[in-house]
Amino acid sequence: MKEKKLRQIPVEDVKPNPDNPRIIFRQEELDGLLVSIGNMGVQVPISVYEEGDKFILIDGERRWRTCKKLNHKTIPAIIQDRPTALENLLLMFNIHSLREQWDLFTIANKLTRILELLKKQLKRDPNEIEISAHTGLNRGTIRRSKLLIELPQKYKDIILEELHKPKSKQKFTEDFFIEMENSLKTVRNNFPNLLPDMNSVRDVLIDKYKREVIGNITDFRKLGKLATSPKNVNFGTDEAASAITQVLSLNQKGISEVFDRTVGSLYDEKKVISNVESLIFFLENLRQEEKEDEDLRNALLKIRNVVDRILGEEV
Amino acid sequence: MPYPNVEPHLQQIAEAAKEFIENRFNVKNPKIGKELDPDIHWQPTLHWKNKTGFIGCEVSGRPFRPIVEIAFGGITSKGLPVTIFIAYPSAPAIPLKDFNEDIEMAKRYGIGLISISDDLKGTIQHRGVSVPLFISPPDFSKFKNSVRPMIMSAYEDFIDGNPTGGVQKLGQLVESAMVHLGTQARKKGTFAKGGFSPSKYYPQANLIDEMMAERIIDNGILGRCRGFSDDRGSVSHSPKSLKAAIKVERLLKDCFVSGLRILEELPEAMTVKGYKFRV
Repeated sequence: MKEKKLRQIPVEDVKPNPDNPRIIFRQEELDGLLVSIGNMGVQVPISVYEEGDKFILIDGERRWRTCKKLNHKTIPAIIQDRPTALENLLLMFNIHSLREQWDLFTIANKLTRILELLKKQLKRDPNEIEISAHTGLNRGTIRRSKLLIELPQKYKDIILEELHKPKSKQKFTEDFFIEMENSLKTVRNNFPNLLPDMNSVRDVLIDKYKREVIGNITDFRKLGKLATSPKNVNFGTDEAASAITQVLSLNQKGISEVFDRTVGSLYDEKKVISNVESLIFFLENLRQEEKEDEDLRNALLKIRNVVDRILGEEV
Repeated sequence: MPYPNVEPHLQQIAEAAKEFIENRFNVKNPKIGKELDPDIHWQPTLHWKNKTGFIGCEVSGRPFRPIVEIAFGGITSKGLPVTIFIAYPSAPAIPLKDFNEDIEMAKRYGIGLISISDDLKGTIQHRGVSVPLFISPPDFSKFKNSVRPMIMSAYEDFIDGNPTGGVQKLGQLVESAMVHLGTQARKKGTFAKGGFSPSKYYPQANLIDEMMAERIIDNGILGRCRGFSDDRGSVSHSPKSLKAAIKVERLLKDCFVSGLRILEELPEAMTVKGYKFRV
């Protein structure tokens, strides 16, 4: 590798990297940088490689765009050797995953290409640890990205269309699809017969969310809980299947409504029992001086009164 | 995308703003994302150049952006006749409080505002003024009650695209004050010479010259009134070139500032000599 060179290069000669996974540059993000560069100039050089008489960006597209907007004539740049296709992508992933928040779809979009190139290099499919080591992404992000990668194209188009809107106006976000896909995965694992056609089910859920029959993307977690209710809270399998069918059908029934009507109280009860068990474990392991603590004793007296009242009512 | 550095959802806003400005100001062939001047730190989304100045338009998701503030400083020191517009979607994509603060900020800099509706129709929310003409709002409480509303209205005109109208409004006040001063001085007998008669039209320049000759009030302020009267006449002609436009704009601004100073100081100068300030 040749020695890296730091130079002032003409802003007009810099070209964006076609492999930059970033699709959208939001004004509010650039505005912060604009004030800083307007006042102090570019403090951190961009990284580029030479291609003919132009320079291709490896790192620093926001700084370059800001300099262009500010009509700066030159920009400080570190000129590097031309990277290979895989190096090019991995450089950008490593730089950005450490420094700034990308839209997840941006990552997912280019991760496919990285997986292909890594597969070629390793001569097998890379595992999550290897992908994480190469890209600098944590495994949770990789898993979430994979959920998006596996979506049929028409849903990817919806996400892309949403990304073009300002954040405050986005409805069908990456998080919406991730929550929906996670819940459908749980349904498929527990009730495979209820999902003969995934896309039509997705369309129903999208429609319900659009009409606000499903009020919040976190409601999808309740759909997952419905699917695991026979295992987790001994709810009847047929009843659970019927409740899920109501959620997955085109009607006015929202997830929360169906959940609360069927398994909501069972999950509440499970939560209470679990908390009580934790409390019992904690109390049984108290040291003598802790048992004598006045605040704790007052709290326990309150609990005793409540428990006596409830159990007394039952007697 | 046709408008570089403009977010995808604002591309249509940029196109609508282009059409709106072209129709409204009769300009054509804008430069897109190019420099306005090598010394100005701003590449507007769109700009047009005509014989007497520039129109720069920044397309934004909200009614104010820091780049405009940066551009403002450079344009002011260079003295280029540039009218800046910000074109933005009429439906706020940010909290209403921030949206309204942005609008106030733009107005404070004399920036024009064009809101673009969902059906891509443009509306001028604030006409704005050529940057070198911009004057910060004066402290209106310094002026007499009798002239304050008219001065406020003159200022509004001046920074909302009608600087000549603003100067003329101040001019009417100064002119009227001079006639009232001449009238009172005639009655008192301190203004004996010259051909001024309260009931007949008399050229303002002659009236001031004659009052100066008889030192009716402090000649310093009367001299400023005389200069103001001359400058007011020379700014009423439309410039025919960029160079002439720069000169006229400088004169308009000087004239307006001078008019404000006169109207602030004249009442006191008249009172000390026993005259009442009237317009």
